[in-house]
Amino acid sequence: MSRVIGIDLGTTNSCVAVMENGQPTVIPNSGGYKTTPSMFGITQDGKRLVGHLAKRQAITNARNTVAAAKRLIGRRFDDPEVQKSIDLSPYEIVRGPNGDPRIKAGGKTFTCPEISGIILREMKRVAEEYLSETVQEAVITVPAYFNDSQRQCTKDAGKIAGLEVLRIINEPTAAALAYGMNRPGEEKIAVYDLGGGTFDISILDMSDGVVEVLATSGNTFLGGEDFDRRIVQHLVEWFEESEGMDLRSDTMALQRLKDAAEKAKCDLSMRDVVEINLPFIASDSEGPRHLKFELTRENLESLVHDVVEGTLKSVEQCCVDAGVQASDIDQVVLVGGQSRMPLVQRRVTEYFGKRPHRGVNPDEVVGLGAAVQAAALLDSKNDMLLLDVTPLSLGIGTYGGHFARLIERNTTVPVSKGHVFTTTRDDQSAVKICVLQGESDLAAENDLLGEFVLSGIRPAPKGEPEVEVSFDIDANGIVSVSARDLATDKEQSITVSSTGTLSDVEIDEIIEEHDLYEVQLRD
Amino acid sequence: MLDGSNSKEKKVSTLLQQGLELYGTGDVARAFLLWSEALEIDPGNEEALDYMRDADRRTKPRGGSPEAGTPSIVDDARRLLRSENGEAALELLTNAPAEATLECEAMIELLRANLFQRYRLELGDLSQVARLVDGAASDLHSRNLPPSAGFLLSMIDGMTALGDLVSVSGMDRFEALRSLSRMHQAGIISWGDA
Repeated sequence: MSRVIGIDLGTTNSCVAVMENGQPTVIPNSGGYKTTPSMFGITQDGKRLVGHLAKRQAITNARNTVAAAKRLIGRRFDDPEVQKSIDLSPYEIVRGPNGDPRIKAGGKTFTCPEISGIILREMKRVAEEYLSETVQEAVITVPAYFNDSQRQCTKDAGKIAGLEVLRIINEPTAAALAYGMNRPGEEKIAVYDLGGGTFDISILDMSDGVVEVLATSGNTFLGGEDFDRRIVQHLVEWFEESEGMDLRSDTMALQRLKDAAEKAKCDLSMRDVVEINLPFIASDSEGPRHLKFELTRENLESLVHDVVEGTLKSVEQCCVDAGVQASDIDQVVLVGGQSRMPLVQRRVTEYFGKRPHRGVNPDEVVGLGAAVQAAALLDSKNDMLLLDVTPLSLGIGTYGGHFARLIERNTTVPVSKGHVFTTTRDDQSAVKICVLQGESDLAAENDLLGEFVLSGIRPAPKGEPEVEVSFDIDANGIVSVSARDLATDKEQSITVSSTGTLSDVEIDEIIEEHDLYEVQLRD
Repeated sequence: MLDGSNSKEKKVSTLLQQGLELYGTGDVARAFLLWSEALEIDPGNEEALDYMRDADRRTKPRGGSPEAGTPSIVDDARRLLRSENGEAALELLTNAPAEATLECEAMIELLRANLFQRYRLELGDLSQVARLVDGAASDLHSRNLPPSAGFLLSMIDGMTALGDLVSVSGMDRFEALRSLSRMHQAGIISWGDA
């Protein structure tokens, strides 16, 4: 039986894991790294790069290197989050024909599922190389706040990568799984996830195998890269003062500074002082110039202290939203490589009054949890290790612009629910079902997931015809809706296919195109 | 890699060399024809593709009246080339303060093409992994290397192949190969199997 892998598809870095001898194990790539940058680039000579190689030229070839596509996947082009990404990204983001954001690189335009599919394909390749066997199935994690469209697009990305996605699970849930927190009894768990590009805080309630996400908060534009930027800024300013040269417009120098800053930051989690040594960083009429700088942990902490404090403000808000105090939290879990920083660990410990769990690498914990879930899906005796809940309420738009909830948020999935509606005009022959997701009582303030029309309703005074609308949410959080005229038994249904979701034909075309590049990616 | 007999390899090699010579004299169109012919015999021949890519990037309109220019500099460059010092010849011409003449331009193109061929022979198919020579790091600051060399050096991690280094450097391919060759000649880097 082929193995099912677990993949943490991160904004900045991705991780793949599998169960081996009953233990979840992270699979290292050929370079020996246990995480792979979620980056894709196309060089001047048309070569496609993924992962570490793409990262190494992310600054010198910024216009054609795509990072953080996860911020865009499943969203509409007009979403505030997408508009912010447009302002901050060095690569071009354009409006797609479906109203979705698309990314231009190397003279080509890519959909967001396509970019994520390229990353997932690389993770699949890493797993196959390690296992020496073909991998066809995976469990992929997503943030707890991802809506239906974002989850569907992530599944599409899996398909593009040649993976059947057996389950989409929430990242904080995966983290809790990795620590074996699916014990009997009830516990409140705080998952503090500070990754490379995003910060998420989630408060979970775990009770007898059911995980309920009480609240999530965070900042999708805050992460380890902001810490790197502070160090780079500091070095650039120091070099300008001491050498009289401005490195800000030198992309080669900036690439080296960024790589060195990240390495120094990581080293300072274990040491008190590091030397940053960059020979031949620049040159002028007097010859080559070198950068040699001693950075202390204390110095670094002073550079980023406000960033860390900003995360705790989100933690505070999340606790308020969840209706808990910090002292109510039973367990604290750290996720994301940036959470390794001693300052972060110290402040989180101080805030919750207890030490976070240790023993699992924070940048591997979500991948490991996904592998645990993947193995559980293969175990017929235990095919539902944990039950997740739908993060957002589901319903339809009704007369007067109202939102009728059919499934409340935090309902355990999978779930099916129905409700009978009727017409609002005499002799109304059709009803339009607008499927919405959100928490507002006003339809216009919620997300439109899809819509369809049920026609052929027999002429009758308003209020007489009966139309049963049924919602079905599967274990991945993906929605199907049907409407049935109870008098005629005529039915219409859709699997909600939101902005950015690709058709099967489009997916097949993308897969065929990317197969042509398979050899290049393997080089 | 070539399939087939030695005669095919010889034919391809001859076409490549003849193309270079024509390119050096400014006959870019005929040079492309010969390199294309080489590709027909050996599809995917990296050397032919390199020459065509480089020539395509650098081709600029030629014309204008022949200038008196700086014939002595061009003569000096020819002398250096004949004594197998193409690097010095190229440095001489590219740093020359005089305005570019047709003859000077043509000589630069010929030198680049010749050096390109030399670098390709030296670096092979670029599949080998670059490494820092033991002890090279300790006296690096005493060397006179440009920032581009420093950039390439920063990416050498003992795992990345030469071809990938060139790709991710974002540098002009000729300049990237030249930089790697110079560092190899200076005993700073070496390369081998992964």
